Amino acid sequence: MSVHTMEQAPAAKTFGATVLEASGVTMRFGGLTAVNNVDLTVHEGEIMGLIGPNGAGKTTFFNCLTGMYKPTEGEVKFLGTILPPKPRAVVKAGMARTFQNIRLFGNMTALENVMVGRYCRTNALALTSIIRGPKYRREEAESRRIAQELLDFVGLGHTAEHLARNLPYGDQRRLEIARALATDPKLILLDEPTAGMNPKETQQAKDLIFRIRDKGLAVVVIEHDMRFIFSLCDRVHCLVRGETLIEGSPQEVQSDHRVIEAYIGQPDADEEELVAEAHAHDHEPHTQPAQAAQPAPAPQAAQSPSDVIKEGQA
Amino acid sequence: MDLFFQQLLNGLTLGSLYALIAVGYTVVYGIVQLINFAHGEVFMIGAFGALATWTMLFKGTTAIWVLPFMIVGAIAVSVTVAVVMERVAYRPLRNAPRLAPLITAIGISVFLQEAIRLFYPGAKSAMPFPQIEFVTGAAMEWGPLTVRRSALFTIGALIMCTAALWFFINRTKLGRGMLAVSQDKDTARLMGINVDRIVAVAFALGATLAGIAGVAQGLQNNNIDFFMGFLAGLKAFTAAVLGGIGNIMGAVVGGLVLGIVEAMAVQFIPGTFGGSPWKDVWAFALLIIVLVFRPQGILGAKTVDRA
Repeated sequence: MSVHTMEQAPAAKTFGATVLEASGVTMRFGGLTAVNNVDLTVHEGEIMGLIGPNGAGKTTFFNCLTGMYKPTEGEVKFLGTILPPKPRAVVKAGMARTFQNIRLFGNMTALENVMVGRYCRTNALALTSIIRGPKYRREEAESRRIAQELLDFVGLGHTAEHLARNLPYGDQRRLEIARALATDPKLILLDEPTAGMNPKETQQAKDLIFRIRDKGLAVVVIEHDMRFIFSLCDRVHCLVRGETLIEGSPQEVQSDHRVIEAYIGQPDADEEELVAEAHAHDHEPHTQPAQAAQPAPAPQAAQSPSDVIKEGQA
Repeated sequence: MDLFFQQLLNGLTLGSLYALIAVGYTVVYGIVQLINFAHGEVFMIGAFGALATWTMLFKGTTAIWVLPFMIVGAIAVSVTVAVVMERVAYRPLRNAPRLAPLITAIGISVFLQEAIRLFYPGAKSAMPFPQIEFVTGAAMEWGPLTVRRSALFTIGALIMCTAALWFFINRTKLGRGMLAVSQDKDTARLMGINVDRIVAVAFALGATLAGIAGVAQGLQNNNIDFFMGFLAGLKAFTAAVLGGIGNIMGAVVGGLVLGIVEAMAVQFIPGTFGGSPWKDVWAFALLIIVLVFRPQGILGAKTVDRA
């Protein structure tokens, strides 16, 4: 698919019921305000992008949503109810996430990792798990079946018995997604799902996210790869220094000069060189229309500094 | 050579006891990175639980059928004490600096010893443990070997407990939860795992084995006392470190190795440094040697690994 077709599409798109409604979320650590008064609404079948320079508060905001942090102010409504700030309750309600830095259970097999995701959806208590009554055995077999299906879904069916820590990097990211899906979420939060991936893996990740969306889930994606975000998301929300800069369709956000400034600031000569260089590497025909449509400096350029950073990290 | 095999058997018996207790140290450490120094007291209290069960319900009986009841009584008491201890003393300190729970553990240890000494009738001195004919009767002669029945009970208990534990960790949902929590608590929480419950299960699991060890110890020694958890706990902790703390099979291996080394040292080291007064010296010397050359322990791993 090309960005070009998306330019006409968004208006026609309709989404399901509201899944997530965060309003006025503020998170302060002592004197530092990491997230300030952020509103975010996500609907069924919608892919929402969350962008912003490093340190903008994206991951902190995710942590507020998933109950790892208790927001200083504001509330998070999920499917119409306010969630207690407890990760376990949040998962049970139907919100799952992946992590910026992969956090699999390295000493467990891929299948077991996904089965851990089933934990909150099975009822067997401690005692029944020792006695192994028929109900427990049925549940266990069911967990195993669902876990295998999810591995197949993300394309890792053949690695079920491999230890998670031995999987290649891209597969580990997909395994995290499978594990998150195992909790039967209505909303999945993906924190930099393509970080460190090559172009082919990135494309696979994109296809996977579309397939997740097609199952009726709502998706929120944090990502620095702008081309990825603008070709994937229905709406994009940009955070800068903990505050909302703009929210809108990819086209609106893409063409907003403040977004570009937030990312690259006032470029000096060195940076421009880097940008130009990265740009030359990134050149891909199918994004041409979008680039052509933009006034210079194209948002394409906005991707580049983060790419440079990523190469540094790798 | 006969002597060698005799001491091997004695070492295995002693080692089995250490191993049963050591598992409790290692499981708890794997889950919450806490050295529960009060675990030796859990073992001691298990023995008193068995004694109390027998005194209240079966006094005078020496038939084999009371043994299962005594074991159940021991486990019930030790698990209760361990779980309450975790809830009251350790959970509030989960996020405190690591020294705080360590000191607390020593405090609990003294508290439990004194509680038994003061409140268990007659516990101010050693108390006779009920003798169950079938497991404490006359020793058997297997060729040149003298085999005490209580030794077979202890070794058998270790084998069964280890098998059950392996199955529990690797083949049940709760075991999977424990593995997950031992590797990453926050992520486990985000998978909907009740971390507090898993921690309690870890304490209960260790206490179960310690309770069984308490019964085994009582049957072997014929009497129990309120202070017996101290040295046994210290040795079991050594065994856990020797095998690789956090690794369940490591605790079992460490316990057996420690027991065998002690038994051999008593018999085969000649002169001034031999004999039973020196056995503890050799046990801890072994610990130091292993830690110098293999700091992570024999089967070392950082987490509760594949059991």
